[in-house]
Amino acid sequence: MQKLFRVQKVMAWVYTVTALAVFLYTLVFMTEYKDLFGLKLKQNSQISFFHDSVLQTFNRQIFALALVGILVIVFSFFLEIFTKVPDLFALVVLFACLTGCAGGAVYAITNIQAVEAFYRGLDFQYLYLEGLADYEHKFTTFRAGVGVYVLQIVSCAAYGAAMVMSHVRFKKLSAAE
Amino acid sequence: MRRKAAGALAAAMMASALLAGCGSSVVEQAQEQQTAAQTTAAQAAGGTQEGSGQAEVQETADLAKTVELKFNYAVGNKSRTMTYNQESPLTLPDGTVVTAGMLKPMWSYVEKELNSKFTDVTVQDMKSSDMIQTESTSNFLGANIYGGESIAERLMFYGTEGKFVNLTEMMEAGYLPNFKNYLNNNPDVRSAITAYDGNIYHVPYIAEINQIARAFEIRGSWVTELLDQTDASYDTDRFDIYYQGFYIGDNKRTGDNGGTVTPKEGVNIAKKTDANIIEIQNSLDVKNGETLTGALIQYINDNYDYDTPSQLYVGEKAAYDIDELIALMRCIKANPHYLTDGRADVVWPLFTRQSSYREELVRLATYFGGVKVHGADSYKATWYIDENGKVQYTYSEEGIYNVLCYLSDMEAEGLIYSDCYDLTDKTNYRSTLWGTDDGDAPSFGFMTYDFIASSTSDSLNKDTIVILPPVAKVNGVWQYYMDNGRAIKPDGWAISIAGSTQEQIDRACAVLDYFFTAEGAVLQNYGLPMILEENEKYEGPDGISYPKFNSWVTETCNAVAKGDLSTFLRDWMGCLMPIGYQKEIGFEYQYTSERGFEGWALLQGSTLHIATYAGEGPDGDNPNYYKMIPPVFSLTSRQKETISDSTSIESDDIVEYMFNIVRYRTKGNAPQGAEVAQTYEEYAAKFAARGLDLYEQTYQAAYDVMILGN
Repeated sequence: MQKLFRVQKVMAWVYTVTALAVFLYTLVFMTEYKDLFGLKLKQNSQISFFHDSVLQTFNRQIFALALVGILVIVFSFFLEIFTKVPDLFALVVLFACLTGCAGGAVYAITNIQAVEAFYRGLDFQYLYLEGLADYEHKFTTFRAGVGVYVLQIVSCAAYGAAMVMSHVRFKKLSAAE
Repeated sequence: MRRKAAGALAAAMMASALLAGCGSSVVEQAQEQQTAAQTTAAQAAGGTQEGSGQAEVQETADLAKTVELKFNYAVGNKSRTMTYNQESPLTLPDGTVVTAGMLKPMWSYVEKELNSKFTDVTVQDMKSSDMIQTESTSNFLGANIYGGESIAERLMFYGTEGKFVNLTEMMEAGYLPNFKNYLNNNPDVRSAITAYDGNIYHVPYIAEINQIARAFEIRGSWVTELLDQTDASYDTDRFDIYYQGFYIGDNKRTGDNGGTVTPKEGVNIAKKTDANIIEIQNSLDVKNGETLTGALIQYINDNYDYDTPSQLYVGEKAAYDIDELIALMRCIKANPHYLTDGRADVVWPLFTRQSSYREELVRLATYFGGVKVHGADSYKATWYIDENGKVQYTYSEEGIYNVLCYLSDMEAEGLIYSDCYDLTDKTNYRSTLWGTDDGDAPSFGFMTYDFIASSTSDSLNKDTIVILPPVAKVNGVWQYYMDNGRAIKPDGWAISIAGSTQEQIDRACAVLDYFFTAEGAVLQNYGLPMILEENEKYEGPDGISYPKFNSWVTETCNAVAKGDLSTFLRDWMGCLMPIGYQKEIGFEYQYTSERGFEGWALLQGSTLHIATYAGEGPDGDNPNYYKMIPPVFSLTSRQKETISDSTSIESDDIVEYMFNIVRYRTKGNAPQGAEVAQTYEEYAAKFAARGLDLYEQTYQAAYDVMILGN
């Protein structure tokens, strides 16, 4: 039991770190594309659409999802997951939250790919007209995003599984006593 | 209870996350939002379009209702605003008395015609740039119409920022029909005033485009007295030489290199030898008025078949080059007593009207091998378009540096009026050097490059005449060329959004459009119907009929404005102001003297070419050579930031740096602290250090946008 509880605590901390990483990611998400802010020419309208509508909208969405991830941490403290084996209620609540987070991560990964594909198809040939000569595609944020959200999915699954196992084992031991 | 709430929250989060995951991609969502926004905008525009049909109908009806419009039209001179600011009242032909503080007569007339109530809210002596700067802080809330000089770029910029009414949209909606029609007929104007976002936000002041702007004017008698008199008693004071000549060495003017030139169709002037007058004068043992002039006369007689030597410079057979002009200037400089009958010890061969026009001197660059200096009328137009269609900054080029050095030699020889460089001196040198001959302390100048009508005015000096420009190899072709055509000005006006109701915007559009109607154009160009001959027209030298001023204008103008019609119409009547309108040449013809007309005829009858927006001229090295550049470039805020943060080419001291070369390089007499570039490398390094590359890239981008937009 002790071993399972230790795994649950470790997974809770792993999840916490991952959720914070996701949150930070959403804060720096636009940084790499800040050059594309404020484009005014008709020739670059698709790029400004990409920046102002696609990226900004997506950033707002993943920021909201990241806040959900942070709420899970708050719930974890609130429901004493770091110090105790979860009861059925705590397990259900956190499992639901983690499912939501994982769903959000899947959504983010899917959309990062869609956004990346759109970005890849943009015509940057007139960007020099607005003082951005030799612009090169930048994919670091997208690639990092996929990594971060995969980690979030894994950590959600591991955290949820650890809580379930810990809870089931605790129930069995309680029944045996 | 807390557990239930937490459970409900968790369920909601899970559901929303799952729903988010099941929806369309963010790209699709953004596209849907954009489509929805465009549909809404299109519907709104459709509404306006539909409404515009009504608006046009209502436009007429609307004039029945008086609408108040506030104008902030600043030009830095209280005499030039909409308000009558003269001390003495003006009585119009119909008996109306105009007194200080009232609107000028033309504006009162327009006010009535458009059934509006005009209020001039301008701080009367405020400069345009200061006005725009101040008013931008309040979103242009204080007036309906803002205008002034050299603010087109600002109007365009603030227009793109949503501060001024989008006139393109208004025209699409049926407003400003006459202005729209004008732009359709003048695509160069449309192109020049279109902002980077493809819209028009201001109506510009358009000078008499495709007409000659400035020309070379001289004291005609001085040339004949110097060169054609047989018993002249020239001065014998010593003259120091510095200039070494342009057509020397491999560039000698002979044969294919300008040996024969054609000032007028059917008139060919051949230069017989490869002799250079500057070299001849420089080689004289004794250099004074007598020897220099003697050498010049001998040179002309040896090289040309003129009846009199002065014909090299004066009249339709003129075929002088820049060296021959400088040689003549030397003779003038060296003969002050002879030319002025002993009234002056010093004369000035070359001057500009005022020190703020000192960059006119650099326009001589055209005659030193066709070096480009100003791509348009404005000194700010320091660009030209090269053979690849790229804009090139002129001031930093080696050709300009060389010209500055030549000018420095001329300055050292005393050929240029030395006060011309001092920007703190606001004197009108043209009035001083041409208009004080009979005064107690006369000053004498010989030549300037200025507008024909005012420079040949009888009231200024009855001896001034127009001459052809120096002949030169321009764009690889020997020809007569002046790189200075009349241009679309960076002046004009625009309608404030924040300061206007829809009713005021509609009426302001009507005002802006009015000056493109036949009636409005006559009003702004010539004045009220009551000051024009009713059934008589003025026949211009170009064969076109123009409205003719009646005797009241001449009499009143003589009485109140010393016969200066331009000043009278601007400062007393409120016409000819740099508001948005197309200026006509007919006014200028009517106050041009006989000598001025002879000048027009001389230039128009010659083979002279000038810069135009169409850019037509003899085939040469650069097909874009004759093309004028737009009056302003519409820069995005990002581009403006780039220029202000990373370059310092536009600061005034760069021009001072250039003129330091003219003033001090040859004589080496620079005062402490004055920086004088001794070599082109040093000169170019200065511009490079100020971010020239980035500056050129930024303007190239702005120009490309302009080209792409057309």
